Amino acid sequence: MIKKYPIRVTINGVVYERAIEARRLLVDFIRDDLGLTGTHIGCELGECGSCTVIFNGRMIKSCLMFAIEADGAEIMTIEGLARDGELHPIQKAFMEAHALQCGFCTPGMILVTYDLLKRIPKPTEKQIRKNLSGNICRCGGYEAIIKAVKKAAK
Amino acid sequence: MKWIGKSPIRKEDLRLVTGHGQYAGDVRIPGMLHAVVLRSSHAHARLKKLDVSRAKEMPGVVEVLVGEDVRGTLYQPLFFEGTTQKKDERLCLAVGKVLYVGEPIAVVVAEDRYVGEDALEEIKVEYEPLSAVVDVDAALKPDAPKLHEEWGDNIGTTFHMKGGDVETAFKEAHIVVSATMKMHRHFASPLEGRVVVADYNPVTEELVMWDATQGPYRTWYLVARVLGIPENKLRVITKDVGGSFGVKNRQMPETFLIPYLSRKLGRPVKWVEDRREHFLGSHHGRELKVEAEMAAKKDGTILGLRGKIYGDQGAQVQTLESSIAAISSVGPYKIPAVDFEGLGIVTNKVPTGAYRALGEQTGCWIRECLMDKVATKIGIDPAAIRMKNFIQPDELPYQTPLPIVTYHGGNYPEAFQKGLNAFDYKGWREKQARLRDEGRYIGIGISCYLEITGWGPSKLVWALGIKSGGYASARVVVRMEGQVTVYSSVTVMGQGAETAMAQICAHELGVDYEDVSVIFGDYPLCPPDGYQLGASRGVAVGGTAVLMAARKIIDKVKKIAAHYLRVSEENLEYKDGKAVVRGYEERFMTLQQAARAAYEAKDLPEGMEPGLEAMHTFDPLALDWTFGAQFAAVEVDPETFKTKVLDFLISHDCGVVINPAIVDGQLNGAITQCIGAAFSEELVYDENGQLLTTNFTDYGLPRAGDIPEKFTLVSMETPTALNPLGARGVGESGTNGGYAVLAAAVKDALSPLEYDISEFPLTPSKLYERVKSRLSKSAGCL
Repeated sequence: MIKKYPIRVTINGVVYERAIEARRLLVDFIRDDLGLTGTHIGCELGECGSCTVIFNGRMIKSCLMFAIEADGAEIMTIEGLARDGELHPIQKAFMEAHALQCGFCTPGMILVTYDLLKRIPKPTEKQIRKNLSGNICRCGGYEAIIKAVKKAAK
Repeated sequence: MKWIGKSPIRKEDLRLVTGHGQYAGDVRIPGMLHAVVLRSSHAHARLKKLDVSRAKEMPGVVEVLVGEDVRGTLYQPLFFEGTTQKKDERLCLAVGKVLYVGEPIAVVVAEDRYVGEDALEEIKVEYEPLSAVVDVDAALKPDAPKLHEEWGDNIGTTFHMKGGDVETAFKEAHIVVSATMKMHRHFASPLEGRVVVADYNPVTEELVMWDATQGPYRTWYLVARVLGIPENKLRVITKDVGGSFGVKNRQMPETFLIPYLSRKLGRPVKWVEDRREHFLGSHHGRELKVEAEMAAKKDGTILGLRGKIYGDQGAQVQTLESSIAAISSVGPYKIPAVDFEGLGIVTNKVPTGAYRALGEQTGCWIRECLMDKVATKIGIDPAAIRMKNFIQPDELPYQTPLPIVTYHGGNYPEAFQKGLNAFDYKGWREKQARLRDEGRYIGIGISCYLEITGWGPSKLVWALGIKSGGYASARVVVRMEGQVTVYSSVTVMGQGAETAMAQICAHELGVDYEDVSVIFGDYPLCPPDGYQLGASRGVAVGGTAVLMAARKIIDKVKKIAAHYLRVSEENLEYKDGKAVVRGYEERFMTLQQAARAAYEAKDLPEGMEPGLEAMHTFDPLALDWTFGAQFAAVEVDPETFKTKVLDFLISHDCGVVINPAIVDGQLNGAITQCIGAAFSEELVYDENGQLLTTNFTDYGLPRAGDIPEKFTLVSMETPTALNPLGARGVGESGTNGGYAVLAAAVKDALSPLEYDISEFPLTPSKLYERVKSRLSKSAGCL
């Protein structure tokens, strides 16, 4: 019987108390244990960014963290961005700029944008390209995403 | 209401931006087990022994299967079979021999994936390694190790395509240019890998599957066939797919193993491949070697094109990219004689399959590269030689020397000229001269192409070796209160098919886009698709089916309206969602009123069936070809050999555009894929057949910083006559010309060194290696 450890995590304002194995990845915990499947897995090595979540106010790649490290943390996933049925301006900007195609990179891109705009409210094109470079989009060619970020920054 | 030509917010978007996409990997079912696949770690070896006893005993492990357990029961149906193709057993788990690193050899089912992966490590495999062949030259040597001893060689299939008098063309030519060109191995690599989930209910004997595939209908009938499940007891669901670009276009071992396991165990089973598995277990693309030559007159008129194409098929012949390269080698030009032979050669690598416009980029590159050589030889501008050889609009429809290559519509010279002007080609050449004087390596490239779209007439698709038809269908249902449901055979994988079908239906029926829902990816509920989504056929074929079904609805509405309004049908016209009496605009019946009448059936015309729905299956009349001209300006850094794309323009004509923003996105994405393919993506094998690039650190997908500084799209819309929508396909077309244009631009940039570009990729290290010998001549650096 593999040992399990109790953790207490707040995700999108909801407190979860669970017992998990030490080796369980945070992204697997979020997706499989809690059913929050908006956070995606593209590589498990922190290279693609589709697992991006906001962790205690900063973006992290949740495939590079064990769930046990999240004990006591406050996390926001893509499901927590819209409030009371109102889409976040970044979500609206992505839709209006036609910045998504298959949508797999989208939650990560939106949360990376959220993190960027908190730190740099009016980023330059160069800053946008640089800050998005940890997230891969295979469908869209990035142009529309860059437009969306600029739109959201307004 | 006009919905064609508009870019409304996509139907797909709301669920995707809120994290409520319905990807197969998101499915969670109580009691669900997880499957993990053991893959060969040798490229070529006999499988002497497979001991799974310890794995089976591990707590949490429910089942372990090896090849012998399912041989004779499960197999991979062929996706493609060339006319000269040699036979080999397409097992779901290897028996006796493994042919590539990554080949499935066992599957473990466990309570969770972590335990399953632990169990993989407990499986003892005894291999007897054999020598591997990892390139076509080695594979063709008479003493080469053979993947299938009974074949006598490593040639899986061959083809020969020709037309016109090639012998005379080359004999009488003033100029003959030639090249040996290599397109490297790389692949689609969508962000979502492959996923199969199966849930067998032992009480009802019904099986439900979720498959991340381009072809859920195809999964449905093939799983029914292979597993012997009655068709009405099987349901296959494919909602959102996280990109595919061809790699999810065929049913693979896992497609059959997972439902088999679920049925055997009476429990839901989920399989989600990880990124390393995607590199080793899906399929690769593009790898071709070409020896080609072009004959021309001294004024630049092309007389002929011929060559030999060697396709590296990996361990199984899954497609024939080389034949598509031959088909697309003609392009938008009057080339009177064409002759291409090809070989599909097996090697000990991952099988090659489809990746966005497979073969077309090589066909384009062969021709465009050789045309540039002719132009250089006779001293004319690359743009001029294209203008000289274009098929003129009044020469369409145009039959090329290859019987299946017939072009139907468009205006190639005009689209080209538009592109030339919008790119400011002249301005760039002037800028190039100035910057060259400053010692900068600036290059400009041009490529033109015709992309195969609207795939394809069923008979032709079969004749080309693909084991499926090419039709698409739609069932349009108008509900009592006027809401419309379109059951479509399209699949949704990023290209906005759900949205496009809704737009077409809304436009034709004259209703609000918001009032149209599209249901897709659920079989047998949805209507059948002869092929699947891909090959740039979503709008051209799937959309036409929607249009035709909508027109059948309108016919019925007019009949109902004629009856209620007491006029004859000829006096009615349907516009803006109403059947209106000509000349008496105040007398009309709306679609919604007709629907209400149809379902209430209070007073329908004699003999009319109640209800308001219509089905249409559209089998394309012919392949359609989308023209594109691409222009690129690049700069190669003399110290790092990194190429920056400064300016990129596509001038294209895909006929009527349904949603401009979607088309823009498709082309943008395609060009970014070309940039990745050219400058940072390469699947590298060592001499033992070990894949050295199995993650995104080693395999450089392009990122936000790699895209062109400037990207422009110029659009022409010459409607096609091949379908009533007037639309050609466009999903793949960016990739068609992208490789040729970047190769031409880099070659032009390095022209002071007179270095020929005949091999991809053009990564900094590759360029440096090949250019090194010239460096000594110019004292140390570029």
